[in-house]
Amino acid sequence: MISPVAELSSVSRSYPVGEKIIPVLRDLHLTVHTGDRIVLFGPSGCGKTTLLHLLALLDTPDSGSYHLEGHSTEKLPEAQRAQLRAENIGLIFQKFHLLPYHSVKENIRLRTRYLASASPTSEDQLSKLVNDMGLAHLVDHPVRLLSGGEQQRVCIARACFQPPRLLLADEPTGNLDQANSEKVQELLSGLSPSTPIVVATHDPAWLPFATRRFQFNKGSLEEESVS
Amino acid sequence: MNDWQDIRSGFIARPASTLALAAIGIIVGLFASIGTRIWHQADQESKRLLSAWPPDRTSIELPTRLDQDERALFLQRLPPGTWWAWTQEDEILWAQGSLPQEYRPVEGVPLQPDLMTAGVAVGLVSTTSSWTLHEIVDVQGVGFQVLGKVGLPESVRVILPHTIQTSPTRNPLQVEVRLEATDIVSRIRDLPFFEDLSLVDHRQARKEARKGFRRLSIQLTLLAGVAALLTAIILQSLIRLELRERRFEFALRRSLGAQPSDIRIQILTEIGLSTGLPSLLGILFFLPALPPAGWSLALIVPGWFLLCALPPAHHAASLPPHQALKEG
Repeated sequence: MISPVAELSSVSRSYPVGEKIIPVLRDLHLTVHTGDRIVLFGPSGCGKTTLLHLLALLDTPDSGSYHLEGHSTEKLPEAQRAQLRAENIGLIFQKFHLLPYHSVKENIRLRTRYLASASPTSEDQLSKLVNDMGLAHLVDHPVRLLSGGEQQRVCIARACFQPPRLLLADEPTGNLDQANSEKVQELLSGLSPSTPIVVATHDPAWLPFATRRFQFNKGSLEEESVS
Repeated sequence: MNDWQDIRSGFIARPASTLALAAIGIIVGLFASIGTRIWHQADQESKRLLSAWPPDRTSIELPTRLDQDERALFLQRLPPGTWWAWTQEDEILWAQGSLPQEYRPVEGVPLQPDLMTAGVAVGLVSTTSSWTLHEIVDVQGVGFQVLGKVGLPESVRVILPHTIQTSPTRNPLQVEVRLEATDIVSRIRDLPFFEDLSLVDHRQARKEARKGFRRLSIQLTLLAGVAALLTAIILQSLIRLELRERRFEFALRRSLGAQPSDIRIQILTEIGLSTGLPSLLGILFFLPALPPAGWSLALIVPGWFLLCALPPAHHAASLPPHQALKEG
């Protein structure tokens, strides 16, 4: 049996709000396999971003276990977590989260700064990627001058440059109009079929994208059938 | 993207704070080099004063000038062979004593004819420890006389002749004697004009000069300490403010795989470039006037900036990224 790319077991996470402790995730289970296109549905504040942050090793669960590429991550020191993140995770954000004064090319290459070894063909890969994303004419432009749709494409290009083992997208079309949203879905659908993608959204337009679909319910995930 | 492109784009994104940090760098560099220069000048002045006051001598100021008889009376009280010199505003008028061996006549150097009117020129005298040459003439075959050198350095004073007994035409303001103050006081206490004399004990004067310099050194050190502390407070506040505004950027970099040490190094590199390099400019402005030891400022000042930046850099690198990303 092929081991999963990522596996969360009985994960719980809560945050202090004032004097109260608010549980966000409770006894949550999720297994991500190669080629999965997972969509996590749920309203704002249900814990989607928290779950993605746990998957991206940006946060740690209060209890439960998380295995990424076979590595048990709970007790890893921060340096090793960062290394695992750099090598395995690609992140796409709702608000794009680009460095506004850096050029498109600089933003796309930002992730590779932190990789232990960037591939020697990375320049060619970059050219192909910006062509595929329709950004070839903008590579030297500062991203603050780009439209929202273009910025989201830069964000996707950054996540996909030096392909990650797991791609996580947090409301990737939340700030885009319908035309750009469709373009983003198209781009993600066109990525390597072996790269598992987890999309957290409340937008039903992502229904056709999913090969597995989950609904948040009181901090846990319920898998729904995909017709 | 390489590190330099990343840092350059960062500077362009934050012109105000970059300029503020650069201004601090230049100002601190300038003040550090000015302070070091003042300290160096004080040190040189102290050394000059100390060399002007050989410890085995006493200077006696003459508020009312002594006539020739009174001077003769004074000289009678000195033990035979004692070196003495009557001076006027640093100019030795005439003196008596023995020529120290480290001085020697320089042959073949011509003297101005008017310098030779008082006697037969024998040449110049140089010292093995100094490049300065001073005119000395042989007066009537009875000794050597230094001809009217204003601001005569100590190295020349001690070469003064051994048997000059000419009649001076100008009244001295001071007499310098190679005897300690206590010794000379006991010898001249009963002279009728003793009360008019004012003694400068060289040993005491040296002690005062050393004390003064020590006090100045302490004051400059305290000033440097306060300045360094103020710089640290201002710089840290500025850095903390900037890093707080960039919290999201660091969280983003962490989300892309940056380790805390990557963030720390990035911040320290930026601070080093934005304050350290300008501080070197400030230091370079006065570098030619600084002693070689002062060149260490080129390491100390940027090093201090990096030290100041270390706690905020460490704090920024340790922040958990998920919170800033949610807020961003």
